Amino acid sequence: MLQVEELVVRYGGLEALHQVSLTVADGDFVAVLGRNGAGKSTLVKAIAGVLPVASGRIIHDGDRIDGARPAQVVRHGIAVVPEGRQLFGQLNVRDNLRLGAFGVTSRGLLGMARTLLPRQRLVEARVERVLHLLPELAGLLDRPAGVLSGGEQQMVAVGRALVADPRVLVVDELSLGLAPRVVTRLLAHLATLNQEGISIVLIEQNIALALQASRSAYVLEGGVVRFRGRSADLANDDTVLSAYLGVSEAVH
Amino acid sequence: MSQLLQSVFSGLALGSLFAVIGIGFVIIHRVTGVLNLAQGALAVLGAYLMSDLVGTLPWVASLLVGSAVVAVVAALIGVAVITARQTLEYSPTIMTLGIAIASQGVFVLIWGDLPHTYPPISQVAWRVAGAFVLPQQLLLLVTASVALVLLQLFFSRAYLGKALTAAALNPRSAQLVGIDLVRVGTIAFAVSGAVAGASGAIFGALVPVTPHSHLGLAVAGFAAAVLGNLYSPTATMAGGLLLGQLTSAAATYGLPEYQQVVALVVLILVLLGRTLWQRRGGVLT
Repeated sequence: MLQVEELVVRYGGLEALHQVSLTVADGDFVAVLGRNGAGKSTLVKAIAGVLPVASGRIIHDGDRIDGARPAQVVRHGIAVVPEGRQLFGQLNVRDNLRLGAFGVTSRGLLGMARTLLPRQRLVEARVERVLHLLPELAGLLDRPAGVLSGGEQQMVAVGRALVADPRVLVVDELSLGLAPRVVTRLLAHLATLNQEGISIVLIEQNIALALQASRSAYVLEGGVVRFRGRSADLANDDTVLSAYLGVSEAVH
Repeated sequence: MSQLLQSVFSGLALGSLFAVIGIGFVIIHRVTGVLNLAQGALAVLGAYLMSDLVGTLPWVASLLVGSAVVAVVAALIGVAVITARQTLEYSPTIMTLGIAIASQGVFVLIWGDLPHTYPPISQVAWRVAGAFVLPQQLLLLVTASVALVLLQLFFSRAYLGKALTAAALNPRSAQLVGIDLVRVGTIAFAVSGAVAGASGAIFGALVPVTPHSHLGLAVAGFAAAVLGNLYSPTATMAGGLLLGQLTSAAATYGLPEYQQVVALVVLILVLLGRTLWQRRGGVLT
């Protein structure tokens, strides 16, 4: 279980998150919604260990992970699909996928020494497993990640995060800039992963899709949690939807 | 003829040193985005350490120990510089300039300001068509070539090499997959330090080092790296060897005082040429 408790994050002198609390139960599918600047990406960065936490706690499976470095967060079973894919464009898809396991395999002196090898059985096995989960990737392995379409890149970004074998997958803006058909397919993949036991935190601008896919939802506004509850309830809550998400009619 | 050949042999050694220093610039810049202006000072440090060690340890052992020490010093510089980068974007390169200037004072304090030299690995000299070639010169060329090949293999094959490339391509994303930016940056500094230290140590037996040697080496190495577009180790190697020939020719044909200027002139010409080329719409690969 991933618990964020009364999290405060300051960003350039401003408080970007005010006492944000959030719970992701094992196997949960949580949507985090909000307008631009609501604090969604700040939350992702704080969980990933990229931004320092001013106060509050982040607990995963009983261990405090606030203040942990990004590599430690990955090793703890939380992987992030960053906003805008952020692939290693000049490397091919296979290497992009392989690097997803860098944090988990490069642990300690022996682990670092092993990274001098071109191939490691553990990394290759994980890449194979991800290719099994996302078969579309198999045909792209030798192409540079930078030349792929947006949808293919997003698939690689999800695959790269999965190679770390996470228990929680945090996806920042899955649908950004992608055709609806592509988003639907990606969401179907996330649903499958969720059924296999991976908890999913989906940060989304596309409210209708996010509420359809998720079980529970949070609405952030101005760095504060304005709604928490079941996604189905939020889909019917016109007050919250119009006040904080700018949706004029219910999305059900 | 023999004078020309002699100039070529000397240039080969000098060029190898420039190349290795340039490759160090490239590696560090590729991984961290920092220009390590203390790169010449690391080579000079290698030579000074060699001058101390070579009396007590066997030659090759001195070379290895000296290079290892330089690698550690470079790693420490790396940690300081990369940590500083997290607060100010332009401070790291300025920091390395500060370290380079300060190193000059440290060299004077420890080793004095008189030129230092020490015996080469072998005293023989081979006669080739009226000119002399020294084992030491070949050793430097071989060291540079081996370093180049190993680094190419490292970047194109090793998992860690890919991680270093990834850190340069997209630092934020690299962090998210668990690549520790400070760690990979430190590795880049250490590797560059080790090869610069080794080449400096080999070169110091050919040409005595002084506390001021580092600046000329840094400039020449940087010029070589610019010829390699600050990206390609192979092109940097070629650039270094070319600069070595030009510098050596300047010394051989009566212009020894212009040796230092050669690299600067080449640097300016290359940058100018590139700018003009790009203005005309040319694309650099």
